[in-house]
Amino acid sequence: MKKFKSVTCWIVMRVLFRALQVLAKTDSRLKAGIKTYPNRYVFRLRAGLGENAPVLSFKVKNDGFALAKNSAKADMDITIKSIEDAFALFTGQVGIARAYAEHRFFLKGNPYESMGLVRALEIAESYLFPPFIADKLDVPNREYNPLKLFALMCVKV
Amino acid sequence: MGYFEFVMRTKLCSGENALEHLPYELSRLKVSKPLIITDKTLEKLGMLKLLTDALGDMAHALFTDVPPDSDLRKAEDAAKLYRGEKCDGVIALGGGSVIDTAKGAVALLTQNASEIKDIIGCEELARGEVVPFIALPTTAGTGSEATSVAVIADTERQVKLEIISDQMLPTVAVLDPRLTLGLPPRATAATAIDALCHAIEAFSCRQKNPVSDAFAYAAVKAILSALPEVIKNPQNKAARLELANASFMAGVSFSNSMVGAVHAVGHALGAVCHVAHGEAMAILLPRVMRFNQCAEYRDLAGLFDDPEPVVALEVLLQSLHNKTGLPITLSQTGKIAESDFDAIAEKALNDGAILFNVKPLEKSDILQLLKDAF
Repeated sequence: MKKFKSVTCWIVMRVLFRALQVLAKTDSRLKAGIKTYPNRYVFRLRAGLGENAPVLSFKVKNDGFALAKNSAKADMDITIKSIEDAFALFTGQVGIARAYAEHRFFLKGNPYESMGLVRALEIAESYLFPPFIADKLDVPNREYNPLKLFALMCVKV
Repeated sequence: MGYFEFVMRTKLCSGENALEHLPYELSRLKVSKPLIITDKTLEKLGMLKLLTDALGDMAHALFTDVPPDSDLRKAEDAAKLYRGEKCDGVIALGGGSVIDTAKGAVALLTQNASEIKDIIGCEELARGEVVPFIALPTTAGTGSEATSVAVIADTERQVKLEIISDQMLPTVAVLDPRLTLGLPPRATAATAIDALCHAIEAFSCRQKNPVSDAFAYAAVKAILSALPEVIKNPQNKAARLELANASFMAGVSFSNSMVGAVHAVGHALGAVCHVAHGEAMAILLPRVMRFNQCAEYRDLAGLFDDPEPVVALEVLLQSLHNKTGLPITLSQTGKIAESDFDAIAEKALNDGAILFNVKPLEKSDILQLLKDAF
């Protein structure tokens, strides 16, 4: 079961990254938010502890997001404390804000700088999850139809 | 079903002459040469002498170079002095800035680090070297003596850095009414409202839990009972002590359940317009309570003697304004123009506390709050 959850998290993290990449160019809030980070600022997200935990590293590049090497030094390194917590987070059972409130992750880096990412993730969730889940998670409203996002995710943006 | 965590391992020494128990606490902790961290104002006011008198002939090192807003260089300098003087414990005597500077130094010492930038983070620090840490608050408001949080400014880069770690929790907190007796009425009111705000926000925010609720409830009760008495009779030691206890309890509470929009916007008001923190809390608390209108406030109604706590709170704030000059609108601070609102709202949206507010806020909500408070 842990293996299944780990693979699911790995897949969702990739989808989430692609959504962030598109939203950084198409959602006004993300467009503004990304400008608060310097170019080459590296984020790392780990789904659980241990060497085999799924990891996603990405960086700010020209007012957008690009993948970064997992070996790159991260400015903001967020680790979800267990694969169970990560699975709950990435499948919409728990929202980002609630996960933060429930100490489900820890971070290395300036917590003040994490807010932009947290908000970006919440906005991405509002597009990726169906409305009945998004409403439950109390995420911000979408600016456009999620079908458009999915379409844009399939093409180069 | 949710999940929560609660950490509290600070020993509290509270009461008349509590300071005199310090030598015993230090010997129990095997501290033979503490580093005292304080500021020059407290030195001039004779607070430092109260402390050194209590220490008797115990050797100590002294660091008095703490600015009004804690600065990372000062925390690093204090840690350097600790190592150079071969100290074996830290005593912080002061308000939030002094205690946060001391926390920064303690975090550096426990982690064997020399730069704050290497240890910033949230719940990331592992157990390190043992550094006994004693906090002696000289205001009754920040609750910093009971929290796992330190906010330290990087003045060169003009950013605030935050460390959240239970590794910085004071080993002992000493609340002695002599340390807050000299606080002027307006500062007393502002700091007490800060503590009230910690308790009310902790009681209502998203991270609330049954244990932090107990501390928050007790803190609200104590503040509502002691604050009017302290304003009427500033030399009333029992009431001063009750306020200090309340501030500690509110600190325990919000350290474990966070704060909300009042603090998010208040921090932004401080950063953009330099409004004193406690005064910002007094201005914003009733407005945010009216915005939130959450069920949790009704659970506090018995303490406020009013089914609508916010109504009773507004009466209290008006009375504090009349008696001490505590501002209750933004324009009364004389530091804000309406043209600042956009920058304040932007900054508030990027403050972590906004995430924990019981009701989500958009930028338009914050702008409306600011207009209402002007």
